[in-house]
Amino acid sequence: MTLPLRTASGGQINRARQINFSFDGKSYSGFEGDTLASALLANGVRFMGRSFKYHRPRGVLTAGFEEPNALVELRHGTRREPNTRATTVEIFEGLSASSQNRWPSLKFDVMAVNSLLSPFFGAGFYYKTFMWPASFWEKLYEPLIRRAAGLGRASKLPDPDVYDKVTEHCDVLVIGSGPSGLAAALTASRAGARVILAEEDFAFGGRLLSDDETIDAAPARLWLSATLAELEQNSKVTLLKRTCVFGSYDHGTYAAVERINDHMLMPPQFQPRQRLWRIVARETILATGAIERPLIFGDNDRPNVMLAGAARTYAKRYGVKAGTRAVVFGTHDDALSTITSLHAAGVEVSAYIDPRPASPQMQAAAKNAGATIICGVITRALGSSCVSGAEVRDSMGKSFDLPCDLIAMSGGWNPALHLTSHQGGKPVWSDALSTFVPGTMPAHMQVVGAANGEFELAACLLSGARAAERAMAGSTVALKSGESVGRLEGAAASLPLWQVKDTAGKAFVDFQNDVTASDIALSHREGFRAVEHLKRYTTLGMATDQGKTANINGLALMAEASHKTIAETGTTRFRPPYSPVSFGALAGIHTGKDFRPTRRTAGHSWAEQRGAVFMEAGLWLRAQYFPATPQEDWLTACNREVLQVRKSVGVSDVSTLGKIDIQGKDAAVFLDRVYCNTFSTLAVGRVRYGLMLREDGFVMDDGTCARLAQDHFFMTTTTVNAVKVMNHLDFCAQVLWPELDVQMISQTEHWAQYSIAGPDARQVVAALVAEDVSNQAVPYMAYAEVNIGNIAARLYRISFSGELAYEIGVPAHYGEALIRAIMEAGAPYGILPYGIEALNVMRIEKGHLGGSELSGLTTAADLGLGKMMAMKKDFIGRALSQREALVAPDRMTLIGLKPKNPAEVFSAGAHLLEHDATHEAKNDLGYITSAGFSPNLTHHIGLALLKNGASRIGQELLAYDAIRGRNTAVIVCSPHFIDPEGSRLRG
Amino acid sequence: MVNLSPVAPFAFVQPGHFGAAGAGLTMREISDVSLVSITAFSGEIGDLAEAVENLCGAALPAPNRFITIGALTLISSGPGQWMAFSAAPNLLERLKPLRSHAALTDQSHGRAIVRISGPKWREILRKGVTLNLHEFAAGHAAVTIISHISALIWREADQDFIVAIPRSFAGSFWHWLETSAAEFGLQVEPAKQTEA
Repeated sequence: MTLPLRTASGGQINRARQINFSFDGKSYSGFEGDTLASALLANGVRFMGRSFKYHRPRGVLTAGFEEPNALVELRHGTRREPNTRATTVEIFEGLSASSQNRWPSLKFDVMAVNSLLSPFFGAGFYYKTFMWPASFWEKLYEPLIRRAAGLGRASKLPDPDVYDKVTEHCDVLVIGSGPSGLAAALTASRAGARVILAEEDFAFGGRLLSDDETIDAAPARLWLSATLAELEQNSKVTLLKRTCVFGSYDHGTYAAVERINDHMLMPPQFQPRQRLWRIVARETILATGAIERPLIFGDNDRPNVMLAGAARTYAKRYGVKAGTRAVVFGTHDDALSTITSLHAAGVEVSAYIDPRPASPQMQAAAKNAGATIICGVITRALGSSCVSGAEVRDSMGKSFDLPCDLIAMSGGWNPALHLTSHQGGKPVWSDALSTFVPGTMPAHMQVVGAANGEFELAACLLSGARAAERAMAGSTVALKSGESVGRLEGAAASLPLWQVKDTAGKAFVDFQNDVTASDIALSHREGFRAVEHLKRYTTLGMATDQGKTANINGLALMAEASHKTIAETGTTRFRPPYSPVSFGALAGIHTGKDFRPTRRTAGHSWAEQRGAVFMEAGLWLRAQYFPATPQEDWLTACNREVLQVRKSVGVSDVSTLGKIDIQGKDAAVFLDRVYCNTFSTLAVGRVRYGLMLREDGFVMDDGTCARLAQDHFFMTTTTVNAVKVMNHLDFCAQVLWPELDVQMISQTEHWAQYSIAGPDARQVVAALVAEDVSNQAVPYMAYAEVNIGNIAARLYRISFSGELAYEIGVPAHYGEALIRAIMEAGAPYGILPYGIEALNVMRIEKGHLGGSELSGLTTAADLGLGKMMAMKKDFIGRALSQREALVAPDRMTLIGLKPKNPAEVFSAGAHLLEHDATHEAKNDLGYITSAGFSPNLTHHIGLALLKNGASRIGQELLAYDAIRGRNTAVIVCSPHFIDPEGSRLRG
Repeated sequence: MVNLSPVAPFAFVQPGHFGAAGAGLTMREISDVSLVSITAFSGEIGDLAEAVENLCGAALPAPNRFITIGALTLISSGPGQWMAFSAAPNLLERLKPLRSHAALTDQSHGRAIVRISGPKWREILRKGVTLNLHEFAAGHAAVTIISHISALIWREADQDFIVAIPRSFAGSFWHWLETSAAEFGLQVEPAKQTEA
């Protein structure tokens, strides 16, 4: 079936392969190689969407990534994707696309009434109209406006596809595969470079696919296919199509996204949908071409008013006649090739309109196509859902209408120089070219061809080749072909025509944001003189296309209004991404629970089998509690675990604590300096609790440290601070005291460690360990090397719970076996595993410190550990811990709290006030850091930081909890609720 | 007597085939090995090198390189720091003569170690490794990051790599490897107890 709007032959489409798709529920067909836009145009569909603000009918403006109008939603359900550009979407069998921003249908859209009210909807309308009451903005105005003016809808369902990330290194990265980029890639590859050639399109060739060019006296497509064949055969060349390089970063790093399977209904099994490339390039050649700019006249947004280059692309590359009768409106000679291409495709070109006087080139092109040359301008496009004619005003001032169903316009070409300015480079204005060209360049980047304002094909090929030679440090490699270029296609200088004056209808500058020429004039009148302000006020250059077709025209109008040159007016800054990038590609495989890596202890599987509920501690997963039945709540489980430890015995996995092996003849001296207390006096085979301060005198971390040998220590840190402490120690050893002979390395991963705690702990340990573990052999705070079966293990007599307790460490591969063995050995005593909820309750009962007390805001003295600071020696934090404010008598210090009425509760975070004080910050005495229910005392207990804490023991205060709306009368007490003498520990 | 049996870090991965047909990559866990970190004491690098020479008959490898002498592999892992890796047990004991020149720390159970090999190694490794793999030749070693997980990696042969990551990250590493290798096919071989 040949559609009347298809050319008889030609184009880069496979006419043997018909593809069926639907748009807004209606079925169509196209060919392999078509975009959604080209296939719709071939089917006579020109009206593809509604505009953002005024809901005006829109068609395609372009044939590429700069498209502002033809945004569509693709697919349904979990794979629904909004804001795709019909001009770049490859059609595939079963594609379903729908138009956006219309309700109930594209043809009949309720909100199109906005267009009638448009005199009220100028720039800043929303800001001016919905000013008060201010509280209405978030709740009423903004949601209302968002609904009316919007782009597509995200699916909001989990994305079923896999997204991939890779890093690749190369000698030369070439961005863009038009003639300049191909010449660069070819030259660099012949010089032996490792080359990556990235092309945003699904076909290589750039404008060579759309224009009639000649290279080496033959059609350019022959050179294109020969070049691609050579590059494909070179194993050091990576050709990436469907790949947009969207950002340029420091040190030659570029980000690109490859749309591997976007052109399929769904990715083949095991295949990623998209791939994010991080490319590290020694040298980069930017060959991104140029973007054509529209002309500004009345109703220039009507469907089938399109860029001249786009009309040419549809005709030449896709074999599609975008209309049957065309009027071409140009201001430079490149537009002439559109006359030729359209004519060759069988489109009647009735007139060529140009404000410049007729030249021989114009006459030749027009004569060949049978078009009339009119020296003048188009003042207005006629028609509504498709253009039906052009209102023309000739140089004599005479106006008349020309019937047509296609207006092809071109105001010149703007280099696509975005990537040159991602690192702060500023484009510079070229009067000769009437456009911005690249200014300061990032290191190791060159820009070639049209992206550098070189529009002639010969210049493009040459500049690409030369840049590649420079990139390869002077190696000159002759371009075997492409050196002698036949015809010199002229596109360069245009007569700048920024706006057709005295027109009726809306003259659009930014099609996507519905910004008109009068909006820019208005914002200037209202005082927005800086381009960045203009952009924010009018939204010029925002949204998915980032003003690729709009920015230069907008700046020109702004310059004109302010009687400045465009160079003086300047540009807004380009930032990554150049084209929209899906969040899926940026996230890669790191989604959901895999957002970041997870660390599991050797006993994790065992705990899982026990039904443990886990919680995160840093990257680690730790058992929070072990419910006896799936229904048991955390508090019941926690109470049960606490009571069992205090009554008999329990076991907990403490493998997550940081463990650092410290060796060297100065190890003891080093520890004396990093801990505020003394370690050089610690005997071999003993363990000591240690407190580390930061340089500023506040507490950094706590833990224990065992002396394994005279010059060998084994330090533990809290789970959460393990990495921080390791970094700190490395810094101290390498930077502060390089003269000390001390070496340290993390051994956290090598040891699986369990704490066995409770009055029956010794019997359990004795059943496991071959050696004597009596109080005489292994007293409180002793360390011993023991054997469990034939496995060498470490035994530490330390306790966090306040009970008789041992920690046993074994090499981690034995960790799972050890916890099973402990449970078996403890079975006669009813041993229970306990999680960090129970651990937390027990340490509060003992007044031991946790993360909420080691908050970085507390000093050793605040926490009741002031006496640990051995002031006879120097240590980190010593000097600054004596600052006036840090030793002030009214500092908040650690105390215990209990409710006056034992039935009442309080929570961490509540503030402490005199019981009759008003609830104001000025009366604040402190706050509760940790709180929980003690099943041993059968009431809530807490730790708090309180001004003059020690002197308030016995006082009644108010725990004021504004968040939970709860005020509790509390009694200040000692933070040691259970066994304050510590007799259980030593038993 | 209590008898503890070891559980390898990747024990949760069942040998078999994952992802697309074919074996773009083969993974085999290496679990029954000794791994010891060697950190030279101040001013002892020269004497350490000599002691290594006497003990193993080879020079310490240069930065980002490794050497294999019989059953022992020495891998550069940082300034003045090496990892000794061996299939033979009791490596810490065997390296005792180095004690006066370097801190020796047993890391045998601290790493989950896999050998990965196969034709698609580059396409898969580059999904996690940001190194320039074109310049990472056989004999090279690096301390780097794989998909946010710190890793020691060395290239034994053209298509043959060993990767050691902290043991607790085995689950996240497997998620990365299984997902990344899916499009090329991944074969997981049973761990060989004596392989190294």
